[in-house]
Amino acid sequence: MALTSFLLLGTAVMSCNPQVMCTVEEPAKLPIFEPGYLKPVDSQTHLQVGQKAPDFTLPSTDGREIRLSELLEDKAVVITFVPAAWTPVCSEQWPGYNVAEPFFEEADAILIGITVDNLPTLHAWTREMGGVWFPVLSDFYPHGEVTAKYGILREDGTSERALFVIDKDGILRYIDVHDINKRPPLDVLIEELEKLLD
Amino acid sequence: MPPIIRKLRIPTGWLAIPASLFLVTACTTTEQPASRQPAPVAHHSVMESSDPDSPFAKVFDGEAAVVVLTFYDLYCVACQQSAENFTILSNRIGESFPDAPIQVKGVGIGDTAFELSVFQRRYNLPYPSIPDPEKTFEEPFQIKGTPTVLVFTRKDTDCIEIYRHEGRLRSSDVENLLETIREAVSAQ
Repeated sequence: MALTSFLLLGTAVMSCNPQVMCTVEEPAKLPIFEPGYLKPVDSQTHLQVGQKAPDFTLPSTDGREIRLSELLEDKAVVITFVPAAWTPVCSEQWPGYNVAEPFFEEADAILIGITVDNLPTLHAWTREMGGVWFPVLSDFYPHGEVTAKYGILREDGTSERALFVIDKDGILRYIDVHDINKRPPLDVLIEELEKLLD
Repeated sequence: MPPIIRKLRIPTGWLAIPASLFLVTACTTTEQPASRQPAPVAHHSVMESSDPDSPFAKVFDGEAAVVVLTFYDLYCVACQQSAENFTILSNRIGESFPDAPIQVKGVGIGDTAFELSVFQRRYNLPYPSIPDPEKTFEEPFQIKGTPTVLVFTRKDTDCIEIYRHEGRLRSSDVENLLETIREAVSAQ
């Protein structure tokens, strides 16, 4: 009885997502947790442009195990690390990449998103966003292992807001460990994508 | 749970069933076709400004008798979901009122010129848009969020807001907007 009731209530709540308006305060009209102003950067990555990107394997929300080196066999890779699901800036940043998908195609690049949240959380969050075209990977357990490999694990266990552009040879071509409170400018990322074609 | 209920061991799990039915019913209601006037229509006049850099001057810069404004943001999911209907609305206006002086414009709330170009390219928006990275259009046009669609008519030097749609633009909303525009054109 209790389980049935719980499932019924859960289904009802999940169906209650008209998502009709992006308010000025909550751009994606999601049930956003407001963390307030955070220390802009809380780590120091050891990685530099020109180095080999650390390889990793992580589970994605579509049930696959994604290995970076396998992706690089076909395409350049852009990794977007975001601090946490259900937070304000992240919930705008990734839907913005949906609009920019053609630029990735032109650069023969693929985007992957990584957070330290677990898979069910990422599944629910991206579903509420209306879905994203790129794989979303969970660096939940061992907690933040890949994020730490990239030198961007914050002291509170979340990730920095960071972008890594990796060419088909696996070499880091661009690193932006961004102010966690701000959205990285789309035009700069697209410029970096265009450089991959040089 | 209140202590008295815990003590009496009254099962409360069944309460979730009517609660679920209520939620489903309430949410279904939000997806019904929009009424003709989904938001209160503000019949306020917007005086044309002599400052060429003011938001009003940027929008009402021609001789159009009817001006349709779409406010959107590249990063807004509801705007992305509405983009196809923005294009349909613009095309239908062109087809339905080929000789009427109607102007359709967009405003990218919080978007740079580059971001606007990305949005326009992705969704093939057929009308010009104005970037508003500093969100200077929000206050004068009372924009509470995106997407918002406003329809104005001209009367002498005033532009009068006659219709306001707030939220995701659905097919039924496009029909409502077209009907409003039809009436406005007839009244000119």
